[in-house]
Amino acid sequence: MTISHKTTARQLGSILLLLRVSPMTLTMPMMIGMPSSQGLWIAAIAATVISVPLVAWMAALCRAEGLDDVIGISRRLLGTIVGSAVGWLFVLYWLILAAFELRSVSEAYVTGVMTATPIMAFMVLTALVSAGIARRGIRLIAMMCELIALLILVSVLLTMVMPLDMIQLRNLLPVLPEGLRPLASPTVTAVSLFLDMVVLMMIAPSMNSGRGLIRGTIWSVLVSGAMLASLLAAMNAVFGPLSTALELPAFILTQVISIGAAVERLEVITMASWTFGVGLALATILWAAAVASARLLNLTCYEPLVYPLGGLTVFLAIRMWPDVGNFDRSVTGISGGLVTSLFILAALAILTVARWLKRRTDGGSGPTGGDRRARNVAAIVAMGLIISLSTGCWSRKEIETLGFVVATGIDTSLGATHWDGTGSDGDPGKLMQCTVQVMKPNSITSGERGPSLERPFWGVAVTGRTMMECVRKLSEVSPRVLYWPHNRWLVIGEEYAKGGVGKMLDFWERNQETRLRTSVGVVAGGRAWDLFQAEFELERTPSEGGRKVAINVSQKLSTVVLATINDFVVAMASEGIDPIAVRAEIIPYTLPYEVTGDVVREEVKATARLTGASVFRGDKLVGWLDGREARGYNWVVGKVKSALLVVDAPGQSVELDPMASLIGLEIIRAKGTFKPKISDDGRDIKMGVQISAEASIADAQPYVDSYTAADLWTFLERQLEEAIKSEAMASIRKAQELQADVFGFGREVYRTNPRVWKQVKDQWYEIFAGLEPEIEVSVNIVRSGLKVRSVKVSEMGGAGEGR
Amino acid sequence: MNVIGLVLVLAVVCLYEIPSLVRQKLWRELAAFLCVSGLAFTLALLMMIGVDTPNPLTWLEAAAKWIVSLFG
Repeated sequence: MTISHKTTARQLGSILLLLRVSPMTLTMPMMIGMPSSQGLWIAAIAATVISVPLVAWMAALCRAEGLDDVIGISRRLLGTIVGSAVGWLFVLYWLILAAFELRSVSEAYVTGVMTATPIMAFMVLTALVSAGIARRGIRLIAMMCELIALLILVSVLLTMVMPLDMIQLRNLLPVLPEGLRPLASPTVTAVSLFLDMVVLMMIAPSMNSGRGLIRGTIWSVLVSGAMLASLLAAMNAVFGPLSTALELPAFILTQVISIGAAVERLEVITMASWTFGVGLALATILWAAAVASARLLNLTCYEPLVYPLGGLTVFLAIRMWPDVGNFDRSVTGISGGLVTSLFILAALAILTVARWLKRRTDGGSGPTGGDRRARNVAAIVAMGLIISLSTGCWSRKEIETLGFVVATGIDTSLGATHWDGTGSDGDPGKLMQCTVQVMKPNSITSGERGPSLERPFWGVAVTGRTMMECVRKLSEVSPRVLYWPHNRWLVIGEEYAKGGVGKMLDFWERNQETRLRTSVGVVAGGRAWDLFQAEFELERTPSEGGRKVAINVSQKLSTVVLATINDFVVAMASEGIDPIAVRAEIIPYTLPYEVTGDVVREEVKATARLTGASVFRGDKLVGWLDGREARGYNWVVGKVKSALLVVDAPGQSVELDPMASLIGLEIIRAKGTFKPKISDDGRDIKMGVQISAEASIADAQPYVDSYTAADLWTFLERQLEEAIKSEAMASIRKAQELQADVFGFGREVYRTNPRVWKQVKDQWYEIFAGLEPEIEVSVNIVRSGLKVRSVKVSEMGGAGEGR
Repeated sequence: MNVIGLVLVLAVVCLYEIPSLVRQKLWRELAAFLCVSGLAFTLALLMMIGVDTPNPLTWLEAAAKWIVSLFG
């Protein structure tokens, strides 16, 4: 890397871009407290469009004043006294901004990752490192930003792209449910955050050219605006109505990434952006504050001021916001953001007017370059410091001390379990029982002796009043600290599910260790505890077995409806859709023969089957879909991956042998969508369901010849269409009978016709129950396996009945 | 405990900055350094021992309220 004496356009752009990183990847202030999140990306674009001229104005003013900084400009144009007052206000503003950055990154660490660490530790370390960088001057900051900005761009891009399987773009509809008015507040918030780029008015003297100043500025506004808009859209597409309730949306977005069920824990990506991006942004702001105050005090160097100002920043970061609620509020809407943006805009306006008045008498003075040559070594040392900050963990978790929870079950309480120590006082009806399966690390490892013969997991149940109480009570019996990110299943007993699950789900969204990708299932006619006694013969742990069964059945039969906690909560929180989850049943199971030989295994008492779906209304279980109905559901919502349907063969072949009259058709791919058809007055709502599928002949009992019998294909297609239609109809009828809109028909009305939805939403369940679906199915049978025609059973004359 | 840490950090920063400033006879800079460090130290100390210190957020909020009232 060559060291140029001056800051280039790209470096300036990178510095300014990093200033926008913390509000994007941490709190996302635009989203906090908004009634809906669909239109927020439009607010981001609007804010970008508004900000381009504002920020360009700052750059143009500096350029016109001969690349001077804002202190020099205001002193020259406004006189020493007024100019200095404006300058001190800028210093105060930068101190508050620095405190904000410091608090936000520390708060994120403490909230998201290391909850046991005192926040002070992060603040002091971050402030020290950032001040250390700031003290070495804008040249070093510029070079580091140039390196880091690329990394951050890539990481934010990955954050948006990688949860691809969870992105549902229809969550972005309707675009503006409440009209344009609610967009005003987030737009103002976003513009006020863009105005933080005013720090460019301190960087100007180190720029290589005035053109570079303008170019770098505009580039950074456009790039960060695009990032902001797409990040908002991605969050909304994944979390739907949940997104405005999240504390660290980008972090949670990276948490749900899972690549091939193997690569997880990618929140490291966001954490890197926090540390590097926010650390450098903080350095930039501290540097600006120090240089500005040195200029105001007519000092020859600013370096001695950096550490003391850093100390002041730590004080402010703690003092200003007593709690996070306070912190979130102070950045949104009509609050601190408004004051600072008005201050910046007023200062710009006053300076511009003063310049216009003074233009005749005065020419700008030359730029003052106070740069020092920054050394690569310093850059590397500082980088090393930041990295060590991100890895040296206070509340670190060593793998030997952890117990990995792989499945969790929730039941109503039957009274205290024998595990329970501290009595759970309170109404027994309000108690819940929580069962966990924890991996036994010693027995998974297969050493030289081969796999251990022990059961590789441990099941334990406790009772408590709230989910978290149960979790904490487990520490009374577990020698290892239970670790939740690898929990694959949240299994709910039927009885508990009927009483409503919303009260228990809050924990799963709020907690740092749990993941929104965890699958949700309900045990039909049983308790989660009983299901956890079941095992799968082919897998060592039931949790892993259950996960693979779920994948298998959804890829081969599609007779199960899979749902994650995120799907469940989004459906629960959205208007016009009810949640649906996996239905699991216990199959009592005994080996019909004696186990002998090497296989020494504790007796398998039962196994489990995943089939069908559990239907909720609101957060309460109201009924079930059986396997066929569940596939019907999957047809309608377009989730069928593959399936096998058995239909009757054409008449003439059936006549030959009535006992061999069936043809199995394998679905290769399928699509399903539905669209409401609403009459002009909005009274009459019909639901048009369109399903299309491609299939191939998978097995044929009678003789069929796909080469010569052209009508065979159309015949089978009609048969298959009928079969699909009846499955889809069965599922809709069942949901109507249960009065639970698991398809989201209501949500689709809301998305396409928000005004009609407003009128009908109060009686939606009645309308839904009487809704007449118009199902259109089109099927293409495209292949017939490896055979052109069946093989005929050869018939020879002679004895026997003959035909 | 926290107070000890605070004094330690202050001492380290002073040892880091002051000698070179004295050597170069930068008295104005030294005075500015001492003023700002003193301010930060005092405020932090007061906060630690539980004295109510000024909070710029309340100023900002008061200013915001005033601005909003200007527009009715």
